[in-house]
Parts: sequence; structure tokens; C-alpha cells
Amino acid sequence: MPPLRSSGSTHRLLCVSFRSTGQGITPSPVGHSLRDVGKGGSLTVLISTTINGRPAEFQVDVFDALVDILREAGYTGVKVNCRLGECGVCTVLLDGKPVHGCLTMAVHANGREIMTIEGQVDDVAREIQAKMASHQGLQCGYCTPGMVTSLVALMKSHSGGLASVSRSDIKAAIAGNLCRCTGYEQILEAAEDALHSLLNR
Amino acid sequence: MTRYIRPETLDAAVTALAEAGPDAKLLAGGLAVGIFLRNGLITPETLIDIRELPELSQILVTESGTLEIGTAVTHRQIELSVQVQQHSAVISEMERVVGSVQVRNNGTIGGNICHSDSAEDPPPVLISLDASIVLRSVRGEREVSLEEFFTGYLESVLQPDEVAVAVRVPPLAPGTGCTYIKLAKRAAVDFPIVGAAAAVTIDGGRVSAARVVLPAVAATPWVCRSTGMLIGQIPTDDLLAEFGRSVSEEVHPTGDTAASGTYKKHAAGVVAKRAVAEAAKRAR
Repeated sequence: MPPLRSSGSTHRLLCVSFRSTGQGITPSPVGHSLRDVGKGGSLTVLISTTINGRPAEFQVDVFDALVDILREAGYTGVKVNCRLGECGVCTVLLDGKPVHGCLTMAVHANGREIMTIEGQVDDVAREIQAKMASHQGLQCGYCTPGMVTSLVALMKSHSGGLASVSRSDIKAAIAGNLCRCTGYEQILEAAEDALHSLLNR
Repeated sequence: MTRYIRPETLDAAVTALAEAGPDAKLLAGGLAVGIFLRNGLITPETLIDIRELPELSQILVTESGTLEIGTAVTHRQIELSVQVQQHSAVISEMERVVGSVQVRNNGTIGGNICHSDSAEDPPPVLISLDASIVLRSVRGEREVSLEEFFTGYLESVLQPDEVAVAVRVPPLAPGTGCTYIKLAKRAAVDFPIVGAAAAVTIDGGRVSAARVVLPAVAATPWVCRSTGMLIGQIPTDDLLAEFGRSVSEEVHPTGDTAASGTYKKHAAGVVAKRAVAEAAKRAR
């Protein structure tokens, strides 16, 4: 289990709590959610969403995080790691905006459009993915779906349009995505190259 | 069993909260509440979702020049708001370093304040601007100065039946410069190790008013008492150095996973000094 590191006092409170109860925050294996952790359980809520353009309905618990619903539905391109909004591997787009799947309440996906890495198949997304590959913007690849998703959001929704996206905008866009293989320079190069290609289409 | 309800109006939410009693929790962006829920730290009987309430989702500037931000407005919306930028650019500047883009797209300003964690970025800036928060219950509405809102670690004057509805930021006095400096390992993602929000008014080259507020050095945002020594003075390097030393002496932070108490105590003075210097520069 990786050490839990955080400067946040909310998280500090959690660490204390976990120590005292003997539980730990471990990355959940595929298909397992934290549904049973809350003591009292909850009444389930029906939510209607679209995932990558396809309508989908789920019966969710109010405790559920969106990432668990997505992974259980087979969208395992969305990764899970810290569950505290620190690492960004669970990044998905909710109505086009990047959010952490681990910190998005599943009930808040009701009536919204979810886009996971599996749905990133248009020209912009493909260009970013191609440049990530050609610049070796990944090593182990665990951060890549989240990283690509954050970059797609930047390049599709930057207020000044693509032409005004700067290197510091790219850095700000992926500030919430950790790469433990330390491939940031290659990722920045890939993003800038993708930007250049998209501008010259 | 936790019951989930999503009222469609603010009135309905306020009524539902009163009826549900003290075992209810309000849900907005779901960052803190979600983590606490999933880890069994809170087990509310009722969860009242106020994230989509239209009454809480507006940013506007009143005729008297007060900026009013609905409590369900996200950090990202505030960061990108032209109205906020024009009214109080320091709020936009601060919002850029609240968590990551992903956090800012979910987190709301009201949730951030009501969570009452003193290591958050927005409260010090808002207190330095003399902001207040509007609280509503079935008993009526009241406006509380943010300086008086926080009472302890994760504690505030917010009553169990109250919904925070808006943050009000009065217009800045002429000749006032503001800034927020944050010291963190990853400035745009982590909570501050220490930080300093400063609002400094300069009149005829001398400081006529100064508010300096620090996150993460006490159970609540720390309003510096050493600002008195700045009033009526020209903000020279020597004066600011003396001010920084004085701030270091007045705070008694405890250490956390980010830094030791000793380090924070020293850094608080350094960051406070830099913030006043920058605010004074912007005031001219």
C-alpha cells in the first residue's frame, strides 16, 4: 500500500480516524466499491445519465462515488487510486468539465453527460493520444487516461480558443494529474505538439 | 439508512432541513461530505442536496457595489467569472490555486466555507475583504461577518437548521491593494502549509488600513494583530521586516504532515511580510 501523503487537514483527520479504527485506504480491486463502508447504508436513488453518448440508468447508493459506478459498468479505463482527489487518475468529463470520479457523488451525475477515456475518439482526443504515444508521454500508463482527459477538456473548452492556449495553461490543466513515472516533460511536449497539429489542421 | 432528497427551491430546502432535524446534512459539491460519508465519519439520517438550487447559483454585483456569490457556485465558476475579476481580482487569483481544475469544478464556495477547515484558501482572502455570509433558516435570515463565522476546527456559528445562501463582498476602499500568497509543495493542488491574504490601503504614501489573514496556523483563519504597527507608516523594508517578525511571534501553529509547527511559525511571518509588501505595491 502506498503511503498516504497529504498536507490537507481534512485528510489528516481521516488518517487519524483510520489509524484508530484499524482500517486503511487501499486502492480497491476492480469491481469492488466502498459501498459497504458507511455504517447505516442508504436508500438507493435512480439516476439517468449518458456515458460516452449512450443513455444509461443506475440504481445508486447516496454514498457511491461516480468512479465505482463507471468501473462496475465496465468503463475500467477510468482508474482508481487515492480516492481523495489528489492524483487525478479517475478524471472524467461531466458535461465537458473535468472532475475526479472518486470525489463526484454518483447522484450528481443524474441528468448529465459523462465522458470517459473510452469515449475519447474524436479528432482532438485522437491527436492528443497519438502525440502522447509518439513523445513517450507515458511509462506505466496508469495516469494516462486522466491526463488525456484533462488535456481534452483544456483543448475543447479554453475560453480564448485553441490559439491562446499556452504552456502555463497546459501545466494548470494537468496540475491535478500525478505521473509517478515522472514523465511530465514528455507529457508537456506531447500536449504542445498536439496543440500545434490541431491549430494547423 | 440515509435518506436522500433533492428539493427544487431554496424554501423547500430550508423547510426540509428544519423538518429533518440535527441528523441531516446538506450536500453541495460533495468533496468533504462525500469523503466523510464513504469512510463512515458521518452517518446522517437525511442528505439534502442543494447543489443545483438556482437561488444559490448566481454571481451578481448589487447597485451598492457589493459582490454577491451564491454558495453553490463552484470555485471554477468564480475563477473564470469576469464580474469577480472586475470586482475583486484577488478572489480570482486565489481561486486559481484552490485544488486542481477537477476539484474546482465540483467544490463550491459555500461548502468550502461551511466545512470550516482553517487550511482552506478562500476564507482568509474573503475575511481580508471584510466579506460576510448570509444564513437562512425557517426562523429567518441573518448575515454574519466571516471573521466571526469560524469558531474552531471544523466548527462555525452555522446552526443545524441553517443554509448558507450567499457570500457578500463589499466594494474595496479606494487606494486598496490586495494579494494572496500561498506556500505549498504543489501550489495549485495542496492545502497551504501557510499563506497570507493582505488588503492594504495607502493614503498619501502611508498605510491607512491593513488586514492580513493567515490560513493553516490556528483552528480558524488567523487575523493578524500586528497590523497596528503599519498604520500611519510608510511601508519601508525595515517596517515590513519588523511586521513579519511580529506576526511570527503572535502565531502558535501546530505541526502537521506538511510541516513542523516551528517551520510554520517562521514561514507565517515571512509570507505575511511578502503579502503586505505586494498589496502595498498594488495599492499605489
